[in-house]
Amino acid sequence: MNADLEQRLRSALAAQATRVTPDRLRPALPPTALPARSPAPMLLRRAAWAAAALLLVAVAVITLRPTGPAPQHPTVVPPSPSGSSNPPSPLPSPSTSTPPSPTPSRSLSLPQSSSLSLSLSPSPAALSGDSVAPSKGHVVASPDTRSSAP
Amino acid sequence: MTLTFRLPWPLLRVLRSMLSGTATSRGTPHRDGPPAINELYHARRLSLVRLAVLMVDDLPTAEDVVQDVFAALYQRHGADLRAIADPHAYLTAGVMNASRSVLRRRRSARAYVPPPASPAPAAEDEALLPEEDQEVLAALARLTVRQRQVVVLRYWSELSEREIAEALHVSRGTVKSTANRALTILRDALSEARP
Repeated sequence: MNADLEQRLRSALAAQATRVTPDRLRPALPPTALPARSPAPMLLRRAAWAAAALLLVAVAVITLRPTGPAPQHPTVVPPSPSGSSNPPSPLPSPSTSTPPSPTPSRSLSLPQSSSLSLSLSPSPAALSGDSVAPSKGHVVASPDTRSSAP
Repeated sequence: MTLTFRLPWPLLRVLRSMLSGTATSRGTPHRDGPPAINELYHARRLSLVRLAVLMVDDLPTAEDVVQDVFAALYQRHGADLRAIADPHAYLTAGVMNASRSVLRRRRSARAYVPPPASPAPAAEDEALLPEEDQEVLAALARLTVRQRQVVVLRYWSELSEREIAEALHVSRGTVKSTANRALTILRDALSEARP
């Protein structure tokens, strides 16, 4: 049964296929008549794909980067009651933003860089030749000058 | 005493081509390897159009399918086909894929637009095809695309199960089961036609 069916199939397919003769085919150009794809666009396409992949990776890294703890900022110490009641010193010093406390406390534990910048910057009083000389290390200007200032 | 030293392969190719007088640039036919694309085109066009006709049923579409396959081959690999291990199998697979796309497009179009009334067959076609063969071809139209591909490759191209599996990118078991299912459908259709 199968052999008979297979024989019929072969016969029908052959009959259908042999109806196509060379003289029935349309004249057609060989494929070399078409321009071949030059390698330059392919290189450009590959470069574009690589750039897109890099961009995606960069975006993913930026968006998925774990956000660590916030950087430690020096805690702003509220000004002392005496300082707040007193008028500001007529001699401004760079240390007015951080009013020093007489005793070093934990809140004043600044990063090393900020303490360095404070110690190295001379106060305007020192620059102007005033008698108050900045001592090495801490800002000397603040507590005494402020308290003695009228 | 003989001194032997190995030349690098590209330099060896250049020297060999200079001695034999053939160029090694891309696109020129290579005598040792597979035939160049134009030779392949002239040698295989007719058989591939016949194969495509068995899939898509009309000659103009079959010619377009074959032309597209050759154009795609040339655009992808150039005239030099040495990069392809078996160009004949490559072309067969290409014709099968393109025919499958054509049949799928037709079926999608028929889902929205009713098919026009089939034109009466030409007198020469009727004279050439016996009634038995017409019945078988009508039964072939009932098969799915995959079943038809397997039947055509098996009973017209006379490919083995392994070759069909490679051409269609399926397993041998799939080829076997698809062929069995197709034969069952054909047998039923033919027994309906001739009770």
